[in-house]
Amino acid sequence: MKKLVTAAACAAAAVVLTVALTPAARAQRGAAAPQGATPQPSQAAAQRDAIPQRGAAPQRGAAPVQPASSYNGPRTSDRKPDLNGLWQVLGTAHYNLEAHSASEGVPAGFSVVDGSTIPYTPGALAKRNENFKNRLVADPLRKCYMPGVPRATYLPFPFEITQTPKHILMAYEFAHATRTIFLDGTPHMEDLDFWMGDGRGTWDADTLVINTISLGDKTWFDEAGNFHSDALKVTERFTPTDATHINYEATIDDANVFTRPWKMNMTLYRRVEKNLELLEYECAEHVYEKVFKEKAGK
Amino acid sequence: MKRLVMTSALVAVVYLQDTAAQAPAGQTPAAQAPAGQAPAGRGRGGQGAAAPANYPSYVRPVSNFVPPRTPDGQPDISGLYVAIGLPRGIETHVAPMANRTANRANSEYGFNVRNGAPKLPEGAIVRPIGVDPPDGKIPLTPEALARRKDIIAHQEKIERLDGRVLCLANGVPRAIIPAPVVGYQILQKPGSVVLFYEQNHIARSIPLDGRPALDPSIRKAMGVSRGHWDGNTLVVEVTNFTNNFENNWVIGAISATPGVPAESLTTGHGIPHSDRYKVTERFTPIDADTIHYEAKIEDPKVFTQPWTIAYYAFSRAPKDYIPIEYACFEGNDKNILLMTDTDISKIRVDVP
Amino acid sequence: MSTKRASAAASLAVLLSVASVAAHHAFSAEFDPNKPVMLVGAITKADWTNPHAWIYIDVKGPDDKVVNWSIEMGPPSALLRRGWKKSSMQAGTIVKVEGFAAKNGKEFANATNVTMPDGTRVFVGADDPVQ
Repeated sequence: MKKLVTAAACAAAAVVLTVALTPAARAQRGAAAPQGATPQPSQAAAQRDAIPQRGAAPQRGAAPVQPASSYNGPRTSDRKPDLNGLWQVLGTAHYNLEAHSASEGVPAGFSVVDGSTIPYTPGALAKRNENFKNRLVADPLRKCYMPGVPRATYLPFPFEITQTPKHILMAYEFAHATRTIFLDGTPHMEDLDFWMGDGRGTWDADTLVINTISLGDKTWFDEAGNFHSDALKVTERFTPTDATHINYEATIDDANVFTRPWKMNMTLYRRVEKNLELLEYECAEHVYEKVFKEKAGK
Repeated sequence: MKRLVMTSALVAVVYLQDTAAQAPAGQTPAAQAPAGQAPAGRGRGGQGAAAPANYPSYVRPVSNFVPPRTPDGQPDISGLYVAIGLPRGIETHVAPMANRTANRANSEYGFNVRNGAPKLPEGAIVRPIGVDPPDGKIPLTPEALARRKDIIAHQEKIERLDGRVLCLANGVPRAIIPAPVVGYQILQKPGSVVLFYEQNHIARSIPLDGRPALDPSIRKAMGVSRGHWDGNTLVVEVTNFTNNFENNWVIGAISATPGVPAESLTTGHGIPHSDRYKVTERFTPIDADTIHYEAKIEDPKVFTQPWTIAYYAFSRAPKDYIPIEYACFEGNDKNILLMTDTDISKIRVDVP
Repeated sequence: MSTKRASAAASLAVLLSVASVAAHHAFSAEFDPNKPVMLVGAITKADWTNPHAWIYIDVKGPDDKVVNWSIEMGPPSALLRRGWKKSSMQAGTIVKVEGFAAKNGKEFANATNVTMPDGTRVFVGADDPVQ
């Protein structure tokens, strides 16, 4: 983990120095920057001489001194990266966040967890392994319960972001689950339980940061039985790198289950096909179909 | 502004009378009928049935209100709303008093009218929400009525129980014939309007970009919406509805009153829909706080003609209103057990 | 306009607190208005869920046998408006429940009021009691 942070800090520094920023982009980013502000002398020099780096590594782990965003994609009227649209994660995180070989019906996959494995306490690890053994019965998703956070993000369905200055609505196909993120400065509601939690967001330069609490303890992180308690807090960072990619990082904090907070990372891909729209996965209908069939069979 | 006092016998659905219309002004038929008394009428459904024939013909509300604009030029109707909590009788307006039980508003009314519903626009007239055909009757084919009777008569069976009680998606327009206790949010982004219903957390995205209709093989419980702005009115055509279940009713206020037979059930419960079901909606901001709703409902396999409902649907939520997650299916199995003696808690399904 | 907001805001607490069960399903489909019950017992579990929050209480019957009852309350939004949160329903808390028993004769009840150990009586149903 430490090595990663150092490397990331170096990468971050490199990005700061080499990414060319147009004056317009600089004026857009900082809300405090007056219209048409001239860049600081040191940065002006960097601008003049810099060679734009395509596909500059996104910052991971380290918090940059100056938020250096390479984002040059579309922006909303309030100058934030425009995240409106349909997004989807590729990969196998929804099967299992940790690295795994293939098994029947499940492709092999890399870990999306920083540090490779989830830092369970010994007792919690035993519980996770028991969950895995019982997953066909114990996975709440198979009861058509809402997936919780962050699992909803990386389910194998597109999801739709509707972004306004004060609210961001995320709509998921699975069980028509939704989250409403409040960016209006209102405080969390404490001492409650919601399936999709209580999410409050802010913009950290071009990164959308969402803090979610009140997630209860009935959801899982994946099909492999990775779980949490009702002390869970999730901090997500959505960092768009261009018009069609977002680097997604979720920090999981739950002292009842893990020895320390840990992170997962993955890429959100914009679904760019023409005329796409969110469809439905009305899971409850499948439950009832099964119920009706069983009743008819009796 | 006159405070509209609600009593339990009062009709709550209103529309604004166009002063240029021919109907006499100031007519408030049955509006002050004391609780329990039925105005003269057809006598359908026993005590409380009333003929809507006294009401003037429906005229679309006229408003001088000019809403602000979104950054991309749409009339801005975004915000948090609560339902204008009104009884949702389509054909009549008075709840069968006999069906009320102690401490429960077990009726065609959505909520306790002591709340003091949000104020309605000046001159609004109170009437059932069925505005066309003029007599307000839902124009079912004989076959559809027979199916409806079977559905309503067997609500204790899980295969017939009201789909909304099963936590299936509410459909259109039913999701706007509300559960007034929870709210709505309208969001707008370039190229679309998104309606969010708190109850059962349903988001309905309405693209405005004139994209073609969806392949008929793709269907949604909430239908597929296509919208455009007609002046300050958002017009939405909704098609491609699923019809996987007999009990996924797309119309019908709150929940059906047990024991009331289909013929007397004036709220739209129990009406099935086919793959030809289509709704054309009009959302019109009347003032800064009020949105009027009209829906033309068509299904040649179910109705003898298209028919229309219209009422004031949304009022801006108070400043201290807190939207709260309203999950449904997750906490519902005990209720289903109590209602239908079916235990669904052991069912597991495959998921992608 | 401000009058309208004020009256709407003043009535919001009641507005939000009522009829969500009527909005979800009919009371009399599950519970019997002719079977009022009063149950006293310790909370063993609580589910803060929609459409209804549930608490489970161990009730000692006349035969001294302890039976666990499932008590249906209003939706979380209704409870919230009356000051109830998750920690209001802690396991071990001894409560008195007034309500109506299920039609099916099993140990389910719908709660109208719950009285807490300190004597506070909270309306927890989905409807206003004065109806």
